[in-house]
Amino acid sequence: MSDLHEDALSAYLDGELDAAARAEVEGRLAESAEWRAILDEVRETRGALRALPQVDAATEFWARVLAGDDVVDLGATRRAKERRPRVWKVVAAGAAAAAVIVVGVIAVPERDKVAPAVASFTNAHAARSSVNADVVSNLASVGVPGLGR
Amino acid sequence: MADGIPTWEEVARDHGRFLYTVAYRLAGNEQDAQDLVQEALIRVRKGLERYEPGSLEGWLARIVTNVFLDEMRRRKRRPTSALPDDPDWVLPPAPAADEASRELPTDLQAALAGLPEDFRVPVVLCDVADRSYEQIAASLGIPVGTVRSRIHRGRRLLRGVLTEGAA
Repeated sequence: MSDLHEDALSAYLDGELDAAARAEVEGRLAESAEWRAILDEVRETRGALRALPQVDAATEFWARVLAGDDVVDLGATRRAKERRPRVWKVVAAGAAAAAVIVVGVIAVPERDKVAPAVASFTNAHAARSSVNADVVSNLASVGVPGLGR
Repeated sequence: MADGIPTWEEVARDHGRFLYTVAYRLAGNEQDAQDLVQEALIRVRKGLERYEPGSLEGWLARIVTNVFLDEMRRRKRRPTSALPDDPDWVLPPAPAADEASRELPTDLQAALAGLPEDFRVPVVLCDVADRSYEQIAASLGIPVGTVRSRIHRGRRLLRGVLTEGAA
């Protein structure tokens, strides 16, 4: 009986002991007022726990659940509210990135179709050259047949 | 129901109250219990194809317990965010001493919610969900001897709290 631990009393009440262990507990109960007192307390607590009524959620809760989609969509619950922003942040960030890409593709002209402002550049160059003193040296060299070489 | 396997709607309709009761006794408050039930039903829906006809309520108790334990682990990983939003998880409502005798279920529920989860879970599975020690051990992945010890200690702790409250 030296191995018998007090938790055998709960197992005794729960019908979790084999015949030998049950007999051992009953032997200890017969000789120990302390064990009998503990057994009474545990029996009472166990009885109170088992007598706790079933509880149920509000009808609206079950209506939502039985609607089906809410079981997949946890949006009605507080915890879902905690989690969702993170999910939505990821989704929103992805959507924003996609939007930027789309806008970039549509709004920005294609590089190979960019027409350089040659006319205005040439005009500006000509104007600048015209006010410089050394106009000749700014002229582009032109090959003339019969001259040089 | 085909081949003894219920549809998801049948589970929710016919066993929802059992599921909610276990969730409520584990969580200790209505809002968290609803969260647990919803998450459990998601897992039920995903797992029905693999469900082998047997003790449906045992299976449901196991699922809702796993959801509860996952949630507890999640909150422990993020204690600073969980604490301000969910004080009920950490500090169950303290029963008023003068209500102890006349509102035993409420008082007992509060005491149950105040038990450390290591004791609360086996006690709820045993006394609310009516699972055997072996089933509880399998659900929690702990030895049967540990289940036995925790159930006993849990009940004694509850007794102590209730006695103090009534004094």
